Amino acid sequence: MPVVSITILRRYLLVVLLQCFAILLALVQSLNGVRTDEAKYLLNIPYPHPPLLRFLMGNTEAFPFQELFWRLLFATLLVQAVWIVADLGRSLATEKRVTLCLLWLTAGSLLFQAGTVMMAPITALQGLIVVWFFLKSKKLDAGSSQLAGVALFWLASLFTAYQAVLYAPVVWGIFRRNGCSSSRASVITVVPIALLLLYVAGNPLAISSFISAGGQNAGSSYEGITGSIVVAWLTAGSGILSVLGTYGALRSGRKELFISVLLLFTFLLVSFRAYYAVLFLPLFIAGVAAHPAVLQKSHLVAAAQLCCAVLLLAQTPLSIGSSPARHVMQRINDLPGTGVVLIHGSFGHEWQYESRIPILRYRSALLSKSKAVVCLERCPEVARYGFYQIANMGEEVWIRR
Amino acid sequence: MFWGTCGVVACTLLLKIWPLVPMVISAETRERVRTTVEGTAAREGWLLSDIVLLSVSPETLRLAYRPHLRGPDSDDCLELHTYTGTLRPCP
Repeated sequence: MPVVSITILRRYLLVVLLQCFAILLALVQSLNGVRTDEAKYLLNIPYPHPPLLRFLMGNTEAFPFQELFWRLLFATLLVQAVWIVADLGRSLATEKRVTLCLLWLTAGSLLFQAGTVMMAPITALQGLIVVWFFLKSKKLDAGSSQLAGVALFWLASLFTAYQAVLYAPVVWGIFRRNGCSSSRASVITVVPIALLLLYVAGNPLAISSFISAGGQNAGSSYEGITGSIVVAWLTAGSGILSVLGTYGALRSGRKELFISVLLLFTFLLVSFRAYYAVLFLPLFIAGVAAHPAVLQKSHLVAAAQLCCAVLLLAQTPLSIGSSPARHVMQRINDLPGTGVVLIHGSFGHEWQYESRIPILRYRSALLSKSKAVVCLERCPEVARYGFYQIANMGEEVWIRR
Repeated sequence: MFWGTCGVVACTLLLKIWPLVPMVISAETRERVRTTVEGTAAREGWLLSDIVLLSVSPETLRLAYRPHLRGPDSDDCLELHTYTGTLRPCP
């Protein structure tokens, strides 16, 4: 009995320690303020991703600490997901299992992305659940409610973010391993993707966003893109997990895992963003879990991974500079009077997030209905229309007299 | 359960897409919609991400304009004449 109590106590202590780690990761990210992509999800701006998660996020707009709430929630989910990783390594010796968990917790993509309010970390978490089903699920009846649950989870993952489609080979593998025929597994995997395409067809803004994302690598050299992808791949698993996970995925004989890794590389070639690195993470963990021979010298692996993670952290300066949006909009929000805010120049959604007043793009014809003008580019004619400039704002801000 | 959910999702999406079919099947209509919406957004100072296209007919576009900001957003349904660029509230 006392042994059981100590085990439970140790588990609670671990949960608390992990939670402290998650809080730390969320707080570090909050130092940067809300970024444009984060604002897009927090305000439920309808592009580019499907609505499932951003709709929930948009419904919390009234929370005074909405941004921190989601940072903490996302960081908690990513960090506490180590229990899923631990379950993946259930058949391993304790040392190897602990090393597998350590590989997850010290992966660069988790350290740098767990506290961000982005879709990619959540897609990675969904990917981890998918690989858990792939590696752990025992024979389920082809018509069982559990298999229907997996299919629904796949549908939900796709309607959270498009990038979940990169795990399609693994999803197909789950159905195949659980007794579905090849054609049935293909239909269950493809129908949700077809529904996603139907969603895209009704959202011209999402389509134009795809076209823009697809062409964003066009101006970069082949060497430049390849270099960025290699850096993202290495950072995703802090080096050691990246190498072991990819090798494990290749050697495990689970071709679905390796095809997913290749799909992800191809996707990055077309549309690179550094934050997609976290999408590698579940595939790396699955690679190691499926081919545990890579953990033969687990002490050495753990020590090398820790060193790489520390080096990675040491080389990354702590970014504290938030955009001027919060500072400027706080001032404008507090001003009396009515009217919109005009912004001149290129700006992100964080300006909308910080505003209590509708924001329009600057045009001199709209000055008559504006309360304030923010000039991120010079707008010399504003002074002629009865506006005065506020000093010490960092940006050129004009207020109606 | 899964197929039922897929059916509901498909019906919901088809209902949403049906009024936009003229734009989906005709490149000319698509181009006309694009130039009209972009021109109107530039004239009104709107952000494209605040506009949701609801339906397309030969002469008018019906759209929802929703300026996103913290707190409750207003949601205006507007009809945009594709040739004159005139905006008026939905009837």
